Amino acid sequence: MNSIRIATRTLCLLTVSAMVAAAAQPDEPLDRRLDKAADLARNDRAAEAGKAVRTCEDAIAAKDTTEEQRIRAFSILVQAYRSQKNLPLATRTALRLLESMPGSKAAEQASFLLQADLLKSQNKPDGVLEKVKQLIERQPDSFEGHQRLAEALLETAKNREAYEEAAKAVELNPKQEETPERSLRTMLDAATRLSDHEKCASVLGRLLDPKAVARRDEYNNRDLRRKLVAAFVGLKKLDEARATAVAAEKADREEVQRQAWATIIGDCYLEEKNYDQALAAYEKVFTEYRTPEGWSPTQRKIVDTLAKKGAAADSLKAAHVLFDAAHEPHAIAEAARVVAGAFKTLDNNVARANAFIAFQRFGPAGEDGKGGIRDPFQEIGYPAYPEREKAFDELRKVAGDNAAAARLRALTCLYSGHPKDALKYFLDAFGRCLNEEVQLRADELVLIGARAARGHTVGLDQYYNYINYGPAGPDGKSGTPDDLPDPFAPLLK
Amino acid sequence: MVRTRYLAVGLLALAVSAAPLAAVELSPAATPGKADGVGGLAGLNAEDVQALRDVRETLQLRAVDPRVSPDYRRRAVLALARVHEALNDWGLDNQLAWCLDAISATKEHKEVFASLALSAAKGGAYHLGAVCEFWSRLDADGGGSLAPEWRKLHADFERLSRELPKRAPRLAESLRPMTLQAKQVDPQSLRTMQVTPKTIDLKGSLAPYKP
Repeated sequence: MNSIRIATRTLCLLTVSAMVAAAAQPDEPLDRRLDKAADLARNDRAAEAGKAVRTCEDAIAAKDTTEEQRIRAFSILVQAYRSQKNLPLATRTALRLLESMPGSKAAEQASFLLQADLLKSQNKPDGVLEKVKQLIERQPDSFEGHQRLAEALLETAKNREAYEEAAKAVELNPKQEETPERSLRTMLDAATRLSDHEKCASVLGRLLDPKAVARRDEYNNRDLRRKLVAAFVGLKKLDEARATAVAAEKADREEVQRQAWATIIGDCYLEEKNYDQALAAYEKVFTEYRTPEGWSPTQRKIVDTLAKKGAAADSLKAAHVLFDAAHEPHAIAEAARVVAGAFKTLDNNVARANAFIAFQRFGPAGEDGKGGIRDPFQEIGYPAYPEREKAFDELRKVAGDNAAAARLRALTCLYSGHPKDALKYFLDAFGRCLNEEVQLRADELVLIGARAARGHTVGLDQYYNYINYGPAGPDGKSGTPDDLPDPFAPLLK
Repeated sequence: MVRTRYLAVGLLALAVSAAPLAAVELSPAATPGKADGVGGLAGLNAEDVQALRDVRETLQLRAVDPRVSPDYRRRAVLALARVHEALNDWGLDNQLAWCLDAISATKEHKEVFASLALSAAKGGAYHLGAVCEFWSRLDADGGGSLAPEWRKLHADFERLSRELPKRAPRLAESLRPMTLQAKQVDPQSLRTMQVTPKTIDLKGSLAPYKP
């Protein structure tokens, strides 16, 4: 049934190609016609593909067609048949290329690679490997052969062989590029999968050659630099890892990315177990960058670094800030676990950790609802961040005059341990925001602002209800039993 | 001349909507959630307040000016919203009435005015009580059916009212108490201790004493 359908489509294709023969414009240069045919060949409509087939067959038959143009015409033909899902005909066309141009190395290479492509499209990785190896047997110096073999080996997880084949492709380097990017990247992928940091660092050194860096976009350069830092860390060359990150922080044009590099610099110091320097580097994420996106993950790193340093009490205080600033239910639960872990480390038992967890689960009323449960954080307090306070003070002044600016002010208060001040700014953000932002600002006001000011999540519904209905309550009439007291007011005192 | 003035106002409006004003002195005494028309907690200086009020006046004129293009009027409304946000003057000076009049007077982009009207109805409060009241009144005035420009906004508001109370996290379900696991000691792994007597090679280590 399937073969009948394919035969019908192919017949259709050939009929259409014959019909359009009259419409062809032989005066147009062949390269231009082949360009158009290449576009049409990708189209899965038979009529469009038929035009491509006709153009290519004409080009193949013509006497003045060059070797390069003929090979291209065959490649487009194969593509046209592939688009029509006629893989047998596509394969026969690839073999026809080999037969029709005996003695041509370029045709031989193109034929084998087209066959390999067709096998790849049929998800036959072993067939691809075999086909590319056949090409290399015939043409041991084929750059494309070695490169494609490396890629095929990588796809079948034969990473060591893939690395070696890509290295051969780099050596062949037919275009004499200073940085043969494609082959080097294949080497890098293989070395990364092998977790061979030495090889990674060596390849990355070539990829990050200044001339290559100048040609590449910032996104790709950043990615390669991150990989180089990881490779140096893997090799325990921590000075070099840090130097790479410091240079990248200076070179990056995007503030968010520079902030991310500042965190990576801290990570490098942490790898060296140089905790004080790591903490100083992490602090820069808050004091030198105005984008709050990086603050939460960095605060988490500060908590962990202090714990590793053995400063359990300071780690717990830092975790207090992390917990206050958590912005959504999953993050709140995760931060609560971090805090409980910090309590456990400090006390060497789980009593206060569990008291904290119980307070978060059941609030001051406790599990039995009798009340009198104290927040274990009350006796812990917040860390002192003098540099952060100074930088945040300036930031609040220049933040601006819209709801987003009010939110930024609120976050600066949270990350310096002043949740009540933060609530004030979250209220400001909700009050001045536009209609379209109401949901976002309401969530921030309740989940971060109100929760941080009161210390737990139990009963947050009352804040949402107040936002929803206002003081008049659900019936919208003041002075009736369903009137709602302002739950935010007591938190501001 | 008129075109030049429009261009100037357009550029001003775009500038206002794109960026916050330069450094401001904070007003910690301002009450959050209360419109004051002078910038609220952001605390604008008198010069900025006056400049924004001038822009607001011009934008209000342009937003309903039939001589300018509908797209220009739409952008004027968006810029106007940004100015209200900066001045913290939501709901003041008959703003809501102005929005409703503008909706009646205009044919295009009524939904942009409607959204502005809702922000004005909220009045800078940190609750939506006045917005609920506004919807009830609008519903009653329309005899139970809303004009097209309000329908989507009303559906959004209804959805928001249903969704918000569900957003409160329930940590009682996701957080569990911590336990310390006692290390199990396999008694089979313990063996009786033995002291092996040291043998002393007296011949090798003790040489005869020679005075």
